[in-house]
Amino acid sequence: MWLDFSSFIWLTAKVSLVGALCALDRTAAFQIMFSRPLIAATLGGVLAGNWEIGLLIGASLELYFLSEIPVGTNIPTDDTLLALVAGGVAAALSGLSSNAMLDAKSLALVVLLAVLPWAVFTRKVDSWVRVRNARLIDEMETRLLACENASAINFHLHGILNFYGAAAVALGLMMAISLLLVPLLLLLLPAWAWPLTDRMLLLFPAAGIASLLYNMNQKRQLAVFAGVSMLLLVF
Amino acid sequence: MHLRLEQRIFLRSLYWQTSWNFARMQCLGLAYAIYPLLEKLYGKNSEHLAQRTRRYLVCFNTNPYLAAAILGFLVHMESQGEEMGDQGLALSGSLAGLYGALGDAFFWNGLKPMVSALAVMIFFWRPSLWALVFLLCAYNLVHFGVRYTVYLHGLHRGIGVIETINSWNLPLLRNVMEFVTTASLAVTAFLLVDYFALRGSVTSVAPFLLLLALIGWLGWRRKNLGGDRPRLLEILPVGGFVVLVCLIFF
Repeated sequence: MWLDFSSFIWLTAKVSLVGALCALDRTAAFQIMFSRPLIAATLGGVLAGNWEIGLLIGASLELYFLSEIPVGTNIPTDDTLLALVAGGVAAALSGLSSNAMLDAKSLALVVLLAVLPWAVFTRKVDSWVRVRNARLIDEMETRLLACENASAINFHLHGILNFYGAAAVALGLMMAISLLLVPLLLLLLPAWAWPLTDRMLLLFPAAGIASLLYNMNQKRQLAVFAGVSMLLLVF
Repeated sequence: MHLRLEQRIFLRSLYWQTSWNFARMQCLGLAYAIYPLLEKLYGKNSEHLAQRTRRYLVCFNTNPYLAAAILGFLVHMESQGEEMGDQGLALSGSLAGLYGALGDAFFWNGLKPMVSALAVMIFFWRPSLWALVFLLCAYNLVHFGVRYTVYLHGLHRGIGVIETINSWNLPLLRNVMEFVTTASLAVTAFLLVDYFALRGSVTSVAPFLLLLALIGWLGWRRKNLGGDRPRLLEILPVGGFVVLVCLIFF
């Protein structure tokens, strides 16, 4: 049920070190959407050897946190870290022979339920980095007062190290705990509950759609939604 | 100004939020991006260069994509002399507020949900890596197009960049994108029926009933408990986890 020790260490290190690069796209650099859950979870899956289950988790999670937006000082949940961990854990466990009979959707559901409560933790990590980054202003100003201009201006890039380091440590911690916790849940879940689990994954895309619709101009968008749904049902 | 310097400043703007902090938000990003110009203008006197660079360490926050318009404008003003540079900097605070609101509404509330919803729709229609390719290509085509165009307009037209952005009517485009998002969400809800093998007399309407229940619950929660944040996103996984543990032990 559990990964052997060397695979456990290797996978945790791989996801945390490579995944943290992907997480940089979220705030620190570029923002080309490489950090969206659809891509991050697939990357987690690729690193753990099964991109297909990573993609399924990414699609289930993509809309889920979309209604939380980074406006002003609001720090939304870091869905990149959650997606990387969920994709990595699900892909790793799907490769074990003891889980060979397990439906991908059931495994995805259990992994998501075990990983998503980390949402609060990811917001704390993000806030911590942003508080720590404030020190860079003092460093830069001190250097500028000493007329060391070239070295002063590069303090801005030290922020990358802060974001990368925090993401790598958070990913390592979340991966390690989830890799231990999820097999335990799979082991303990009674057999009669399994047939329910594959369809329960529907909850995640449905909750994402609901929260997106709710955050838009409600009456107008609900009318459009109902109209398109009726058209699809008729044709 | 040399093309190479223009490009260098734009490339540096891709690291706009690298040191985002609660104290002065994007101030280091602004100083970092504009530094090559300051170095070219005042590089001979390091004390003066340091003083001009410090002028840019003011509290600054805006949408990271439309920040390129403000950066272009500031480069335009600074190139015309220190006094103009100071005036540009004084005006940039107001522009930051304006483009923060406009950019957040267009990119975070319009483009991102639309492209994500379409990508998820593609996945539930034909599960493949095409959903990823679509997400990256569609978003970045618009994102880089807007980002580079507003930078160039700010650079060459100065304050005229406001007219350029106004002429695009971004709020209208955002409304159009909201309609596309909603339509694709409806199609996705429809595709979920097949994907989760729910086709049947009663079960095929399950995703729609579930959606109605969730939206109703969110509305009830906002009306009765207050707060804008959809707590559903936190309650669902924690609640689900508790249910899972209950299933195990009882």
